[in-house]
Amino acid sequence: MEDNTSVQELRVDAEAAAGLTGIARWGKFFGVLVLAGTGLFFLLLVVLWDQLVGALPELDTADRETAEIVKVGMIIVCLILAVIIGVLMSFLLKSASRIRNGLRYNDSLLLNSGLASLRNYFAMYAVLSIIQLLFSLIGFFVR
Amino acid sequence: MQTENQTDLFAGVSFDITAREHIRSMAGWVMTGVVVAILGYILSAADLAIHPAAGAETGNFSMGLSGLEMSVSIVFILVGLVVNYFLYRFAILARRGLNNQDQAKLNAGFHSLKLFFIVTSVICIVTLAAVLLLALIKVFGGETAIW
Repeated sequence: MEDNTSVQELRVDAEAAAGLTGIARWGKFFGVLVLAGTGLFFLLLVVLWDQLVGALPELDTADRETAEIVKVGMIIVCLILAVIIGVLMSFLLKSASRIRNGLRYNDSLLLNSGLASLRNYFAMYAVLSIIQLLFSLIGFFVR
Repeated sequence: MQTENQTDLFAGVSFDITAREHIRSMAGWVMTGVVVAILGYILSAADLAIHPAAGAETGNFSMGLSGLEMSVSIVFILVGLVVNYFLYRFAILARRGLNNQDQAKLNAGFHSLKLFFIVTSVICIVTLAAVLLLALIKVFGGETAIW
């Protein structure tokens, strides 16, 4: 009973709606920007591939076989990064669209779904941060 | 009167138990991300202190950090701290808003999250523009070596 009363107290007032709409608008903009940036990165990778590959033997004295493995490794890492970014941004874009529509049509279910997607986005962001920290720690002690 | 009308616009929408759980959980994950990011910055700062500029070079492989790398690392840390400040504010304010049934704090939390997305978008635009500019110079600049 008390919980039902407390639920009544937190409403989506005009200020909350403005904040959530702003989150949805800027979140969508950021998501599109990151996806465009990822696309641009891959475009640059294709355009400058020869120069990047040409720089490999100068950086490393390894033989041709190792250089080939490095090239394949680079492609695989880039593809994995693209998939991770794609999934992460899909959560953000999904949440932006659902929060906006939830507010527009006064639909609590849609709003909740949007908040759940935003939570998934930040959960994935946190997990990726932890993985990045682990790699940084390894790099710090290996260097 | 106008505020009352605006509030009525969203009369059908409320932060029910599910929404509050999502926001609480989101705040938790955001705080985890912030703590991990801060640890990362501390590690980067320690790296800068331990491996100072112009380190010993063995052949073509540099063991230390160049001046440019050091400057980029410092800017990266500072920008990261600013961005994470907004996330931290969201996590704290949203949690307090939910725990104390404080609408103003919850709204302030949403405002901080909006600012986070605005700041990260601006940083993203600046970074993209810089990368695009460098790439154009590299592609059309011929012999001019940028990286």
